[in-house]
This record gives sequence, structure tokens and C-alpha cells, in this order.
Amino acid sequence: MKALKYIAIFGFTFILLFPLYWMFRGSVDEIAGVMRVPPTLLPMNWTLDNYRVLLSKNLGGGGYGYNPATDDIQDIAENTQVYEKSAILRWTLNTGGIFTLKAALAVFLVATAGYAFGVYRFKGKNTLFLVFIIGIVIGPGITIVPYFVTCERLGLRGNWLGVILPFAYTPVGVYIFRNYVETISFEIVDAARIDGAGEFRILRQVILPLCRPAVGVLVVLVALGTLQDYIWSLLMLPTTEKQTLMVGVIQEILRVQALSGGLNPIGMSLAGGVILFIPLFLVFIFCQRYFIKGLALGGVKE
Amino acid sequence: MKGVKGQRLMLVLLLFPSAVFIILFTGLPFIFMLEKSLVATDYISTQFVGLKHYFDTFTDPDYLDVFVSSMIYAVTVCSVTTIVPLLFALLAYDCPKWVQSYAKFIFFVPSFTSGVIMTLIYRWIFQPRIGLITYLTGLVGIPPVMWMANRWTAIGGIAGMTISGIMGVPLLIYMSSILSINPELFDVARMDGATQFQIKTKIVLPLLGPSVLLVILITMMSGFFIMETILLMTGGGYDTQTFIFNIFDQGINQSKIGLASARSVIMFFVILTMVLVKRRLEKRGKE
Repeated sequence: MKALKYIAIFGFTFILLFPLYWMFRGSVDEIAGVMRVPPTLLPMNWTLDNYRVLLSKNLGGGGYGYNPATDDIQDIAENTQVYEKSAILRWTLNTGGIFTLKAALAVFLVATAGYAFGVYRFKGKNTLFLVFIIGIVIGPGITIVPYFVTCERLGLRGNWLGVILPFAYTPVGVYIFRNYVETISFEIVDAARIDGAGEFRILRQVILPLCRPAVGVLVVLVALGTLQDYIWSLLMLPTTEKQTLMVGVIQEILRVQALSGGLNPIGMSLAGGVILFIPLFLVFIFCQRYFIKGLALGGVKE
Repeated sequence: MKGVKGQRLMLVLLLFPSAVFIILFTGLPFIFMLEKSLVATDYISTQFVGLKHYFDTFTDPDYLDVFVSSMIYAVTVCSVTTIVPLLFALLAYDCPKWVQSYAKFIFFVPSFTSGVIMTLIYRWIFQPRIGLITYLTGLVGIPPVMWMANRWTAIGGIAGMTISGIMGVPLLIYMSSILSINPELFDVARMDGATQFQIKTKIVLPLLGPSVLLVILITMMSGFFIMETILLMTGGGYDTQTFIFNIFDQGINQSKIGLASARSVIMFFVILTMVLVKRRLEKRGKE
């Protein structure tokens, strides 16, 4: 009975992790190995060409070193601009920049609102709080079209503000932060006030350090949101130079697919998948505690 | 009571930045949604058409397909992601700590791997000629079909991908509510001679009622909200659209802002109803 239990738990590992292994296996194999029927469990001919193709993608111009029609990789060493205008590098930096600005803004908004709702008592507080977290229900999923119209009208389309501003305010974050602030003893706040500290100083020097776990949860949620988002970033950032890593890589794969008459460039897709997977994996590994806690705080008590 | 003099100003200052964002990015879209659902826009002129978009939606035979597909997605996704993590939570909660952490980790790996990355893998796995699925079904004698160009296989495949991607949260919800059960209850039951199996089915399971309700709500919504996977697997063709993908498709790909807004309003009320029903059931459970 006990053995059966462990077999079930560990057997499930296989089902859930197999696709990821299969992605890795295909990404380091030559096209013949990928197309082989019956498929082999291990790569047939190890190669890093798939990665090289993606990493050699340049911004602007074709300058690409890869001919999708013949599936040849031309000598990319000739291409001297490779590392100067590397698209992947640019997209990574874009993503990093967007994340940094978004996270800073998110922490500022959530901390101020969460502090106000956690510490102050005032008339109509519960109603106002409902207004502040109504966004959990009216999410961007339902309202994607009006969201799009709004952002276009505000002139946010085509620049980074379009991906930073709309989701900088996170209702779930306010909810988590408020709950966290409420667990802090208000005597600390009173003591700081008696010492003559201003409210913003109390927030920055007393509350924020105490709420570090809640801030961590928020930052991790923002990081995952930025790294995982595809459709919204695609709508807001139509130009290649400004795109995020996710959008850039996927659009590149779709572009090559269109060039080769609709054939799925499998090796390149899989290499792209691995490249997109790495940052998410790092965030997950290093912030697993916050990630799981955030989902628990945001989901369980909603 | 908190609040000395001058605090009202402080309060306004603290809430003001967030309020601006809420007005701009929750309020404005919401008002636009209501407004646009009543007009026909072609970027040059705008015309008031009343409830026409709503009537069109309910009389459109294509929307019936969307409805049927959405329901299939929601029911499959919801049933599997409610039951499988529940079984695993019941299996794992009395295991050693590291097994529990391990189970959580495994269930979360597909969740943090974005659905978009999953589509990159599954576009290969579902390839009609060389894909793994074709090979595996070939072994049991099922002839290959264009998996993603056939309504039912495409819906099945997309539902399966979605299921594997969202099982982490339900497991976590179940695990944490099992942890919050008073351990004395288990001791008492054990002293009365209850077997481990009886404890699990007679004590733990009934106490998980509210969690199950929450998971049903979340996973049904996940079913309605599938979007990126559909976009990259079928592009919305072959009648595989969900409600939300349909809104995106109508509004942004086909620029029918009015129709899409009307459908958004309908979805808003559907979601609101689901949340309220859940609340009601929860209250009834407590009494």
C-alpha cells in the first residue's frame, strides 16, 4: 500500500516532466534526429546549431545566417555584426528593464495603498477596499479589448509604458500587503510617530523592512508576469527592437515558419523554448518560497 | 482608533497614486467596455445601435460553437484539475516532509513554465507525421490524423496542455487546508481504531469542501480563459475557441470592437455569477 503511494507520486513526475525533457532532447539534436520515426529517447547527433541559429539573429535586416528553405546554417562567423546587434541580448535587456520599472512601480503602489488600508481606520474603508481589489475579478482576461482601446487612446501603444503601466497596480498585491501589515503590531507605528517620524518615513524604514516577505511575493509575481506574458506584450510592442524576450523569440519562430511555407521549424522552436525556460526556471528555483506563498496568499483567501 | 490630526491628508496622499492607476486601467476600460458594447464603430463614424450586439451574440450560430467548445474545455479542465490534485494531496499529506515538497515542486514545474513554451513543445509532439502522439497512437493501431486540424482532437490536446499547466495551485490549496486541520482530530480517530483510509475519506475529505469549491471556481475560469495556447496551436480555427479567445479574436483580429465589448460584458456577468454562487454555497456549507 505504502509502496503504491510512492509509485503514484514518483510516477507522476514522469508525466509532468516528460514534455520538458522532450524539449531539451529535441533542441540539441540535428533535424534528422528530430524528424526520425520511430523517435529515439536520446538525441541522435548532438549539436548546438539550433541555439546558434537563434542567438545569431540580428536586429534589423535579414543578417541571419540561416536559410530556412534549405535548412542550412551558413557560416555565421563571417557575420561580424553578430554580437553587436544580437537580438536575443536586446530582448533580454528589454525584459530586464521592463521588469525593473514595473516592479519598482508595483512595490510603490502596493506599499502605499496597503499601508493605508492596513494601518488607518476611516469611514467607508471596507467599501473603498473593495474598489481597490475589484481588479481581481475584472481582470485583463475579460477586458482585453477595452484595455487595448484604452491604452491605444492614452498613447501607450508602441512603447514600454504600454506594458509597464497597465499592470503595475496589482490588486492581489494590495490584498496580500494589507493582510501582512495588519499582522504587525501598531505600537511600532505609534512609537515611530512619537519619535517624530513622518508617515512616508515610517512606511519606508519601519513597515517595508517588516513586510519583506510580502514585497518578495509581489516582486516574484511581477517577474513571472513579465516573463510569461505573450499576447499583451505582442499587442503593445509591435516593433522588433522593443519586444520582450518571450515575444521576440516566438515572433521570430513564427516568421521563419511563414518564410518556409508554414513548416514548423522544430529545432529552432525547441531551442527557443529552452532559452525562454531558463529565466523562468531561475526565478522559480531561487524564489520558490515566495512563489508558492504568493499563490497561497492570493488564491486561498480570495 | 488610529489617526491624529492631519492624517486625512496623509491618507489621501497614500491612496492617490493607486487610485490614479485604478481609474485609468480598471475604471476606464470598464466604462469603454459598456459604452462600446452599445455602438458600432468603424474607426470613422460611430453609431448608437442599442442592444444589437447582444442580440447578435445570442442569435449567432458561430457563437454556439464557441459556447460548446468553452463548455467542453471548462468541464474537462475543471474535473481533472479538481480531482487529480485532491487524490495526490490525500496521498501525500501523511508522507515525510520531503515527499510533500517534492510533490509540490513537480506539480508546479509546468505552472511556471509558461503555456507559450508548452505550445512550442506540443507543436512538435502533435505533428501529424513525426510527432510523438502519432507514434504512440500508431502503436495501438489508431491511424494518424491532423491532430490540430480536427475540432475534437484539437480541443482534447489543448485541454490536456492546460490541465498539466494549472495543477500546482489546486494541490497547494488542498495541502494547506489539510495542514490547517486540528491534528487532535486525527489522534482521536486513531484511538477509536479508525484506519488510515477511513481517516482520509471520513474526516479529511469532508473538511476539504470549501477548498474544493474554490478550486472548481478557479479551474472553470481557467477553462474559459484559455487564450495563448489556442492562438499558437490552432489560431482559433476548427471551432476550438473559448469565450475569451473569441473576444480577443473578434475585437482585435477582426476589429469588431462593439461586438467584442458586448461579449466581454456578458462574460463579466458570467464570472460575477460564478463568484456569487460560490459565496452562496460556501455560506450554506457553514450553516
